[in-house]
Formats: sequence, structure tokens, C-alpha cells
Amino acid sequence: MKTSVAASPARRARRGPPRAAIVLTGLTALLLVVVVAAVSLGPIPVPPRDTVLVLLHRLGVVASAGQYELVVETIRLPRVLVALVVGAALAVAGTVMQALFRNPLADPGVTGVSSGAAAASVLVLATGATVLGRWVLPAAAFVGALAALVVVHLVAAARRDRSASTLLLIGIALNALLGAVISAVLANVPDDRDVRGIVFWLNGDLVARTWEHVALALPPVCVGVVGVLLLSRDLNMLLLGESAARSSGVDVLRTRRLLLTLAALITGSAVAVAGAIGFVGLVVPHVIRLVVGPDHRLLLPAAALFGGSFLVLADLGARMLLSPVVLQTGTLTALIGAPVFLLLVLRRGRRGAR
Amino acid sequence: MTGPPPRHGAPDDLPLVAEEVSVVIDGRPVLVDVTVRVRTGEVMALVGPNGAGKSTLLSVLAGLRRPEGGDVRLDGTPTRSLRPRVLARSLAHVPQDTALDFEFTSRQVVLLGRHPHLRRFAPVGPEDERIADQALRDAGADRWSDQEVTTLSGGERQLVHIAKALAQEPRVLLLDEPVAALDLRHQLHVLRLLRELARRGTAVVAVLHDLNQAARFCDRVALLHQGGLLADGPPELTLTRENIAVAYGVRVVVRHDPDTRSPRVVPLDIDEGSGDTR
Repeated sequence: MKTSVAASPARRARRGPPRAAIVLTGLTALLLVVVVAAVSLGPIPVPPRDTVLVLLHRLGVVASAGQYELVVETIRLPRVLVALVVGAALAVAGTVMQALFRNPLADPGVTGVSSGAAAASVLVLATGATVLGRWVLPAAAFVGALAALVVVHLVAAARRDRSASTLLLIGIALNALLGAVISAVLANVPDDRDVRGIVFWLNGDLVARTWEHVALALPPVCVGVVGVLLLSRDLNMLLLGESAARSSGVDVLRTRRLLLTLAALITGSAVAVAGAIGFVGLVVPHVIRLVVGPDHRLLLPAAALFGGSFLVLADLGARMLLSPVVLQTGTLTALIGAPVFLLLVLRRGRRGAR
Repeated sequence: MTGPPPRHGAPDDLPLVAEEVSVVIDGRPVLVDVTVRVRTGEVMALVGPNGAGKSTLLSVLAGLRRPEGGDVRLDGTPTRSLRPRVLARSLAHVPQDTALDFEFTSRQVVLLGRHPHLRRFAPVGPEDERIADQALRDAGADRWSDQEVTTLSGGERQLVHIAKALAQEPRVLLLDEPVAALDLRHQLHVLRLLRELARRGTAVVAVLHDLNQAARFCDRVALLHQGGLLADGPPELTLTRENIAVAYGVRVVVRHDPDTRSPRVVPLDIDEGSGDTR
């Protein structure tokens, strides 16, 4: 039976592909602009044209890279790319955790998952286990993130309660515990210079990132993000709640285990190369949700793109805003993220939702 | 109507059977050896006092809770050995609590009901959209199709979830207190919808509180009492003065209501004594 479909504007808006295409194209364009800007700006300014030239050269499109190749190639570009990968990773991890816990306030930092990754990383850094190979640090971060996620999940499940306050309380407890673990480990590191290095890394920082860091983070993050994208419909179903998802055909246990593992992989890889940068996973999904709604098929890729832009910009801000005063990237995201977080708490309270 | 098309080669008119199921929650027996056969083309009411095990029985039937004893079979196959996707193609469940924290539109929620019918990575097609729109109309929820479910009232959200279950095109539809949150008009709308679905060959099971609604709209009433089945049959035979006195501890008279042409239960008083209803 035919009915008038053309009616409301919302109905026109949901006509899928064009809108999705517009959003994703726009966000990709934004990301490109942000990347070129971030590579160009710095103590030695590089004209944007030359930045593009180096990028094109790198991609094998043009033969000559021009005079700025060195600074762009060895210093700026890897840092910007690490920021991009980490930003995308944290945004996606946050989005996934919000669906997993059916809680818009979930985020790797708030729930203590980043701390889990950080604590495990500090442990291997302090014991010197990192000499075993480059993979030791990310592997430890992954294990730490996974352990923390499983704890959060189990406690939340045992309480049969998915309220925001429960989750935040679990996060507080876990963050406190892991903070204590980290302090204890640091107190026993013999060399003070090592301590300073570890603390700097802990706060979330992107100084002196190299191609090695890019190579370390990119593959696992890509695997994780692609895996999560393939599960985007299941994520939508999980938002309905466990039994509703199950009675609509989702193998909830299996899906959840898979998502927990992927979220840990993504978070762990990000923390391994950039330390615990907070609030990206909270701010980015919320902003994107305001624009595209909660459908993960569009939300996830959009959050990944915007997360990349967000952290590249935040890192640029950290480098440039108060120069020569050193601001860490994690400091800047916290300065933006903490107020947004409080705003969200207030908004939820007013809506009267648990 | 989105009623599922009559499936050829589905000879069994007892698609869902719970055989002597027992459930223990926190050491307390909630269901004891309950046998229920859900029949195609029939609306069955699960009634009984609070705590009698109605919702538990419904979630056991839905495959959401695994019973400690007994078996639930869909077309003869134990539901616990079926993949959730396969089960969901035949069976839909509308929960009591439909709260959502994420700003899906009603239509998006209803489209999620198409999940078990979509191939793993296949996008939602025009046919799915058509089915979802029809389900919204059938449930009487099409007026707020494009509204976010977070802005709806409990009753409106309930109708959206009923629409989602319809979009799933199940042969067996299980509903947990589908009309409890609804106003008078929507109650009648949903109860009539259930009848219509049954007429088209769906097996419908609904937990109901209102005995008169059960008597009027259901072909069969299963009366639960202390985890067991006190009576199971047509309303005239199950909703008797004696049964209600035993199950609810309430003195009632049951009259024939000429307006609805069905039994009408009129509660008189709480039954303080034992057995004697005079």
C-alpha cells in the first residue's frame, strides 16, 4: 500500500546514502585540511602548498618533494599521523563502550580502561621488559585494557544495573586502584630520568613521535576499527538492551566478547603510543551523535574521522597556543573534555534519566 | 497488516511448546513443571497474581531464560540449540521495560526488528522499509515515526516496540504486559491488533493483568498460581469463581457480559477465609 512518504523533513533527512555521503565527505575534507594545517604550522612555518607537495611525494604522485621535505617527513608528519590514529582509535573505542554499556557517559578514560592499559604499560616500562621487542608495550597495553574492561563489565553485570552512576563509580574505583599501582611501580624505578619520561608519557603526549610509532599503532587500530565497523548493526541492537537484542536475533554473549576484545585492542594500541589521553572517546561520539544520530553504521566512521581531526587539532593547540610554554596533548583534551563531560552529566540529570 | 504470510509447509499448529519447565531464581522455585502449548491462530493470555511467574514463563518461552528443568521447543527443536538469529525469525518478544537512552527515531527502532531477516552485511532494503512503515501503522505508532524514542511517553514507546516485533514478522509473538502502560484507546487498539494477527495465523501469547480483557480478547487463558498452571483453557472454563479465589484470594462473581459477549469478572472482596466463598 502506498502512503505519502514525502511528508516530513525528518523523513527526507533519513533517506540514507546521500546524507551519509555528505557527512563522511565533509569529515574527510575536514581531516585533510586539519592535517595539512597541523603539518604546516610550527616553529618553522611550512607553506601549505609545500606540505601538500611533500604529502603527494610521499604517496608517489609527484617526483620532487621540495625544500621542506626533512621537517615535514621526519618531525611533523609522524606526529600528526600518530595524533590522527590515536584520535580515531579513542573516538571509536568510546563509541563502542557507550553501546556496550548502554551508557552515553562511558569512555576509555572515565571507566578506567585507559588506566588499565597505562598501568600494564608502566609495569613493562619500569621492569625493562620492553627490551624483548617493540611489540611488548602495545601487547601489555592491550592486556591491561582488556582486563580493566572485563572488570568493569563484570561488576556492572553483577549489579544488574546500567545506570550512569554505577558505571562512573566503578570507573572511580578502578582509576584509583590503577593509579595506586602506577605510583607504586614508579616509586620503585631506580633512575629518576626514567620516572620523568614515564610520567610525561602517562599524561598523554605526542612529542617526538616517529614513523615507528605510526607503524606500531596503525595496524592494530585498523584491524580493530574495521572489526567494529562490521559489527555496527549489532551495536545498534545492543543499545536496545540485552534481552531485546537477543530476541531480535543477536548472539549477545559472543558479540559482546568480540566487542570487548576489539575495544581493548583499539584502546591499548592508542595508549601504547600516546599515553592516556582522556575525553576524546567522550566528546567526539557526542558531537557526532548530535549531527548524525545514534545509528552506528554512520556514527562509527564519522566518529573515527572526526576523532582524528579532533586530536590533530588538540595536538596543534598544545604545540602552538601557549608556546613556548609546554602544554601536553592530554592536558588540552582534558581542558576541553572535562567541561563537556560535566555538561552531559547535568543534561542527563535534568532529563530525569536515572 | 504485517501479519506474516501463511508459510507453506509449516504443518505444525503448535509451533512453540514448553514441556514441564521449571525455573529456580535465587533458590526459590518460580516455575514448577509448567507445560504450555502455544497454538497457531490463537491469542493466549498468561494471567495470575503478582509473582506467579508470568513474566518468567514468557521469557522462558522466548528463549531468553534457560529453564533449570524441562525444554522449550520450536517446531520440535529445542530453542536453546537454535542460533538467536534463526529463533528470532520465528519468534518475537516485546519486553515490559522499553526505556532507551539513545536518540533513535521510532522508525529506526522498528527497522532494527528486521535484523534477523537481513543477511550479515546486507543493508536495509526498500522492502524492509515498507515492512517497518506498515508495522508502525499496524501498531498505531506511525504518528511519531520520526520522533526520537527518548521524547516519547512510556505508552507510545510501548507501541513502537510492538511495531518492532511486528517488523520481525514472527510466527509466534510474545508480549509482556503490552497494554499496561496504554490509555484506553490504545489498549483496545493493541488487543484488537493481537486478535487480527491471530486471525492471520500468528500464535500470540500476552501477559495480561486485566482478567476481563483476557476473557474478551483471548481464545485461551492460562492461569498461573505459585509457579504452576492452575488452569489452561477457554476463558469460560478457566476464569471461574473458584479458580480466581484460589489464585488471587479474592471473592468474585463471574457474569456474562451481553455487551462484549464474554465473561466478566466482578471482584467483591478480599477472601480472608480458606476455600469457602460464600
